[in-house]
Amino acid sequence: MSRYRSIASALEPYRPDVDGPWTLAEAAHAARRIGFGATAERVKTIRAKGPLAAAEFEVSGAKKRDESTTLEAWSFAERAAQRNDIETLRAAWVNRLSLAEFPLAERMCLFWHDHFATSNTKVQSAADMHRQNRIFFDMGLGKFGPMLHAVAKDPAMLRWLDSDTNKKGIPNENFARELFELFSLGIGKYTEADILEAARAFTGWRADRHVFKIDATARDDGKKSVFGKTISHGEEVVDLCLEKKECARFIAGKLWREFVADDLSPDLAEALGAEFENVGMDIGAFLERLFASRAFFSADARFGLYRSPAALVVGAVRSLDARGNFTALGAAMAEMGQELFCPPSVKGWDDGRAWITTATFSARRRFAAEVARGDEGRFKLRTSAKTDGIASHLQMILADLEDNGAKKGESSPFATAARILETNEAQLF
Amino acid sequence: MTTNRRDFLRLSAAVGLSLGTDPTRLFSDAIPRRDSKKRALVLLELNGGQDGLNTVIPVESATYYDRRKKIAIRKESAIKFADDVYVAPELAALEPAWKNGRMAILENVGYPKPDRSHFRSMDIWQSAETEDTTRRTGWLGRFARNERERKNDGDRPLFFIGAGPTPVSLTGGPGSPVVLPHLSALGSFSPSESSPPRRKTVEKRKADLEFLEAQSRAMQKIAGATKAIAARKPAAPYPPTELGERFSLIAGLIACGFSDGIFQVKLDGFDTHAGQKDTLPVLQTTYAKAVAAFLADLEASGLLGNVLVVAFSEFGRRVAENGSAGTDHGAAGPMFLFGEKIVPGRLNGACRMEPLLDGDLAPNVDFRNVYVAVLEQWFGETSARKIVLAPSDSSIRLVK
Repeated sequence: MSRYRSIASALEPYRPDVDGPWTLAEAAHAARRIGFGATAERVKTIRAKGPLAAAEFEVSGAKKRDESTTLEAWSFAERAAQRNDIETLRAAWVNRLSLAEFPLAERMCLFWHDHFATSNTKVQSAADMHRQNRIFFDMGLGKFGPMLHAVAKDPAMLRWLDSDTNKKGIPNENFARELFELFSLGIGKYTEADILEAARAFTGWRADRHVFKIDATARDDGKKSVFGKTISHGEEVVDLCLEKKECARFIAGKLWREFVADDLSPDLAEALGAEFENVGMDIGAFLERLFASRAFFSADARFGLYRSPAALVVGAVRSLDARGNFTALGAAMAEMGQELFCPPSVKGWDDGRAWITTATFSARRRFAAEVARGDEGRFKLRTSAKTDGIASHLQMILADLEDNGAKKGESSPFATAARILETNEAQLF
Repeated sequence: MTTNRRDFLRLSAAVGLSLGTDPTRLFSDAIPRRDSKKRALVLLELNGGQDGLNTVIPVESATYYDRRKKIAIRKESAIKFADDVYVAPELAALEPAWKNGRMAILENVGYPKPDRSHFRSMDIWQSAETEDTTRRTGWLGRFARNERERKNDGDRPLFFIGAGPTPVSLTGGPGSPVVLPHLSALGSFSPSESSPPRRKTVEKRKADLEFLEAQSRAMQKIAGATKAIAARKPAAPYPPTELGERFSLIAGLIACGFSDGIFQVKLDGFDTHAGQKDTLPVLQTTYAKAVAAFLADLEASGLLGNVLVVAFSEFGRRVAENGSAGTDHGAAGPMFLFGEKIVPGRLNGACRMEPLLDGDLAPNVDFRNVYVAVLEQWFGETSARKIVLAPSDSSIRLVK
């Protein structure tokens, strides 16, 4: 890869004024990628801290899982879970994404929801979806291993990939296959025989009233051979995945694609995997390194990713420092192709250009039109952000446009935001 | 069935995947000239891996009944389309299509070294590329591009009638496909009148900005036709399902100016790992009724001769059921074709149950040869083999 002097230098800290400028534009880029968007004040804070301290600030803040600004949303979620009300659960999550003081915690929660993509269309339980969501929120910035173990035993996952009917005799391969292909190693890093044997190791894994247990009568007690090693328990299969070099590489590469750039050379993938292993597969530590890196601030990274519907909606709300009807905002995301808690398949949502079709782009424009209506519109958006200066902030943080200020007749920040949101440029971030 | 067809069946059962000389070539005469601008293609994607064995039932196979103690469909419960063709009872709605010679079945369709990943295998089917290339384009997108370069008389319109990303099959064409989950999805689209704002990084993101702009142009393509389509009354009733509505929309598009369109439509849910007796029949009923209504609507509208429907899935399922009364990922599976101009019936005989490939049905027809046949015989495409890169020159006669 020629654009960084070497693969190693891609991950080295970005030095303001040596590697490139450090202005509000770079700080806005960091705010966009880390938290989908931010207020002008937060962008100024990031700029004042500099890249290293800003990365530390955002990651450590998120790791504290501060819920002070989202207490109400969390209690809505708990009640929705009890009432099996998935729509309110979704609204509560959009609320959390929009209002969390440190948005990275929620952004990672969404990242893992997409990675371990589980849909309520089959699970049919808001309580189980919420419990799984809580795993992603609580463990999503910690070490990858414990989270993978937790997800394997998570009741929503047990239901989703049929572990809950997997029994000795002729085991069900569904979970074993996706554990390898999508959750830990990537396609082709295992054989069909590994899948069959691993499936045997997961026999008898059940959820009993939302709690994991092993049904001894359904369990295959025999020895199994996975990746050439002899094991007997499902937990050992998960550990074997975690030990493989491919796992660190696969997860690190996915984080790179989510936060830095869409393309990834084999050399860089290797280097990222090694770095992720170096930090003990600690997601937060790895991200902190990424967020302060030369690659992260390179010209190739800037506005080089497509905004997901969540990034578009949450980015707009956060940048406007707005409050609104989160149920309607969640529904708008669904119309744009991202219905939270209902990913289209176990592979999650296709990203990049796949987000954009004639139908979803039309929905994005309808979203912008509703944003323009502010409090009068479907989203009932309100903000205390001052009109003064907001236009240039929104130009900078929502799209790569020249700052040409508020247009005539744009009396509200919402009208300005809408004008930017419907441009081709604002679909990139 | 003619003697020749019988020979075809017998021979094709013996040829396997990669014969250099193929006996079926006897039946593929010179490609007839067609007015391909009045020919539409509908690709029905059965997503998740359709269980072909519980769809067209191998009632004479002891292996089938032996390995599927819980979920096999007994001969007496199946519907008899012909002496040697039994199908799941949920396919009842397709019986008229079969009896009228408007349905064809191809068994054991697949490709060498079958991949059992949903996502990889679906990519392989839709791109017609079995190599692992990162930038795949679709077989129909490439066909449309080739056709434009060759004929230079406008783009063939590509549609995905559904929600979600553009399917791989339709990518790589000229312009952008129209994605339409329902008729009102594009709203009252009108191109932006204000001058575009100045950009800072035009050069760097040029390709992306062009891609985004192409979406607007694609939306404009159908803006003029939406009123006529909304006003159209189908000539036969559709089932009240999402798939039924989508087939109705396709008929509307064909009737209102897109008679040369390529349409993809998809039904999800075929990944029946557990309790498939509860799930698969619902899906079968859904597509059987939707396709039957579509054929009836087109026939009554005088359009049936212009339309070919091809149904496919990313793989079939394992012959043996699993302990969850479901089936895991398999290899080969059946394809179905519908239309007035197709060669009807069972094109390559009963499903070959032996020899199995790791417990799965072995492919003996390469799907890429089916694609070549569709492009050559339906659209009169002369360089189909370059577009699809079929593995051998064996031909299958699909269109009369």
